[in-house]
Amino acid sequence: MKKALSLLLLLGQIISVFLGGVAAEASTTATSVNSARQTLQSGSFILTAVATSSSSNTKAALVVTSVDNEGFFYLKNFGTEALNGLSMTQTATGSTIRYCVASDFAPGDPTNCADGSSAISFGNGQTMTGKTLRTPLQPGASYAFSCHLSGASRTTISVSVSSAAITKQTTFS
Amino acid sequence: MKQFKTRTPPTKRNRVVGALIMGTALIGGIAVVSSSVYASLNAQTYNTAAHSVSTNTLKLTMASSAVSGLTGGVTTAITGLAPGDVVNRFLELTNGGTMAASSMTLSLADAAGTTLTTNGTAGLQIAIYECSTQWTTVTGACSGTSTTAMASTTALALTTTPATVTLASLAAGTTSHLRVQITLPAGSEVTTNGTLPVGTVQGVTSTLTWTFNELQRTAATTAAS
Repeated sequence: MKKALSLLLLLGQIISVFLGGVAAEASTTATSVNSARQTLQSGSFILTAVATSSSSNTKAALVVTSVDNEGFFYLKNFGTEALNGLSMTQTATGSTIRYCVASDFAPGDPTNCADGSSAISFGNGQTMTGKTLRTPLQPGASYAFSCHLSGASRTTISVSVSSAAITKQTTFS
Repeated sequence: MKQFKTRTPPTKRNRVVGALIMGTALIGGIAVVSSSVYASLNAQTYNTAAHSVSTNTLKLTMASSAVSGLTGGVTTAITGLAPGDVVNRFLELTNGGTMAASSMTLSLADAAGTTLTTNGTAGLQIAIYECSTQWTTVTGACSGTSTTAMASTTALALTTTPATVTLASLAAGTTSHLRVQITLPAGSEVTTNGTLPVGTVQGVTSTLTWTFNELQRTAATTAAS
């Protein structure tokens, strides 16, 4: 009985010390919160090979069929960021890729653009990594591409863009 | 002729009345004596002028910078943030009460909960710098002394645990000129054939609540002054 009473007293002391400690640590705080929530939206870099400049995003590789060894397609920027470059793979071998900036190709001509300029060489391998575009491809815009096929009637074009293809910006506002 | 009154013996009624009178007198006497026993002297003193006791106040407010071109603060939307982008916003944080403060912290909440605030690697990173004077317009440079108030911290961390913001002064009435640096790390995301990668930081929208918090200065025990 005496032991139980001692334990009870000890428990009371512990609770008292605990409550005392809490009271001693209580303090006033002040808080400031932004008056309106801040919306923060990230951009996107989305590039797809499509059959026409008005195509929607197919989210798939494009099979290009050649006519007289010449095939045409477009790369269209479906994102919100301008693209400085891209990587491309194709299934055909020995196929030469060219492109025109802000212009279609001259009809049936895979080497000249409709605006009279010469098409820009992009590459001729099956894997073309980290290629830089002469002029950044703006959001919503597309560039016309041609592929000169030799020994194949079709090639499948696959493209990718990385965050490295985006121009980084630092703003003060 | 002188007449003599004869004394008649008291009746029973008279004896009862007499006893009551005597009892009442006895009780009254005892009461008087008792009160005399407990009576004591009493003395008081009081301050001649009222003693004024007042408390301090602790108030914290934030406002967008008033410097031309730097007024976006943390309420104006940020759009089109791409990996590697850095956005700087400018705040005036004022300890407007009458009491010094301590332990300033910043926490972040995202009502939308996107990868921008849930991914500790690819998501947002926040740093805060303090300038001893107003930040310079347009360039956001500090013409005075610039210090790091909060090293770069992930938004994920700020949503879970408030981070310490070390300011030059938390004295009453002090305004701190802050530059909040919001960075989306460059990362290494690749989008293939028009399809965004899983867990992407692209094309998402967070809705941020910025909360600064401070505690009162350390409670003081003072001697008579």
